[in-house]
Amino acid sequence: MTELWLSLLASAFVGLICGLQSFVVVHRRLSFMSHGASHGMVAGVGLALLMHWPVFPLALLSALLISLGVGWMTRKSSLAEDSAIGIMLSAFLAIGLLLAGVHGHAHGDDCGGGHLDEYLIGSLETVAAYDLYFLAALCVLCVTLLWVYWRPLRLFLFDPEGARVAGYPVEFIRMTLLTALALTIALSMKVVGVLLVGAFLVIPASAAGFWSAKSSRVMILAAVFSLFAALAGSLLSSAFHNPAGPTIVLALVALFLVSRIIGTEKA
Amino acid sequence: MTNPASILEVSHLTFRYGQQTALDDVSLALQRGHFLGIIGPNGGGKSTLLRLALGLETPASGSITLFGETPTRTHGWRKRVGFVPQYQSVAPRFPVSAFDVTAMGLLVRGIPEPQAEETRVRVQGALSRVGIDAPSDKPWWSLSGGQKQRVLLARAMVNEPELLLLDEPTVGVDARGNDLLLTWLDLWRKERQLTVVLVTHDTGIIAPICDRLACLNIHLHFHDHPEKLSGDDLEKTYGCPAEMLFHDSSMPHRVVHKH
Repeated sequence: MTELWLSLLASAFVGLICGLQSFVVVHRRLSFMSHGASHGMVAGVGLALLMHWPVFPLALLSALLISLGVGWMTRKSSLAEDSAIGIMLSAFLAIGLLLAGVHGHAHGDDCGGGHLDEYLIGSLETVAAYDLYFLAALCVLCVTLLWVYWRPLRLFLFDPEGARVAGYPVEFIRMTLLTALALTIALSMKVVGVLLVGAFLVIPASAAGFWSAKSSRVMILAAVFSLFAALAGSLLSSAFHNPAGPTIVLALVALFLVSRIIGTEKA
Repeated sequence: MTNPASILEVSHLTFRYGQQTALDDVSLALQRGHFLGIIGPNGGGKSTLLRLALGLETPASGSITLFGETPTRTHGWRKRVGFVPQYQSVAPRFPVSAFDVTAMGLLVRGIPEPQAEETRVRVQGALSRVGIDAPSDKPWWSLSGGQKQRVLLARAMVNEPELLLLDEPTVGVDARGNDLLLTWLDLWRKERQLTVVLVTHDTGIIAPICDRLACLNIHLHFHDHPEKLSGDDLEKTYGCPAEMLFHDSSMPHRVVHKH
């Protein structure tokens, strides 16, 4: 498989997964949490670079620790969730930058295992075949779960207490969604970068909301927007030799602006 | 010992949030067709009592049963109970229609969903019953507060429950909407022997139709005859001077304390 096809397929999978997840992120009000988890992954990346350990598991661990840390800080306390996310995000980002700095001093330009920049803004050139397998597996998992549990999920997003009254394990659903979110962010890191993956998880469903007031249509449209932006951004970045992450996000922003201006649903 | 005829039975129930007692030694029993109105100030434990009845909280001591089952332990009672929350408690901008929201009432864990055609008939029936004759595909966000509350009532009624629990259903709803709500509740209760528990801080709406009235402010004071509710009862519950408004003549009249 050529490098271009590999990067296009990776972008397409990331686009689909993030588009579907963005529906949950927007309607569960997890935008700031997704930004916090993605930025906080810098800690895992920094540690992995310094120790020459695999990046993905440590980045995923960072995101999960942030989710758990926010839960622990806000449970039975007066601390607001956005404040807790702000604290965790800053702490993990600082740790990551510090570790990456130590790694840079130790190795100079000869940074075995990669540079922090590759993970901050993404680098399609570093995508390997095994990344595709993980992305494809996550994509299949997300679509299957949504297909099977769509109605309870919709009830949970609309009225979590109503879902509990109907007997659904709301805490389990919440933790599953947060874990899926952390997995998505960790796997999308190479394509769009930790600084911009948050945009991928907020903009598609926000833009799609201007076109329909039916939840299934909004979710499908979010995936279509996201897929289109991912492919267009990847092709443009490849043609002009720019990093993929910023190009994809700008394509998403353009879609959002068009939707805001001419969208038929002015909710 | 649970009375087998009881729909809802609460016995010496105490509940605490941390160190703070929210309910203390509360007991009550409801039979089929009873309409219990619970009034009390904000923070008096009204919503907590409903949450305990729905198995969303666990009592510190005492017991609570629905249809003879402990709500935190079993699921059989869920299809027999409808719950109406305040419309402000759900996601205000979520992309769903009045039809979708009503159909959510058919989702009960462990109970198979009806086929699409049966769902359509039941949802449309429930919506008409609460006077939502406008197109049922109208987005949730475009409905008025009163319409949203009625759709949530339709959601609770779509499964044809035997017990209906309502948490402050009149908040943010205009006077006409309140009158309609109470009229329907009274009608359904008589038609179907529906058992109703309605909690509110609005003393004005409740006394005319309920056959049992309780004042709740951590402790529950039960009144089997709502018409005998006195200003003293209200003052004890609310902890402040209270005035009473009577509706039992053609001209409502208000009894106010000496100023």
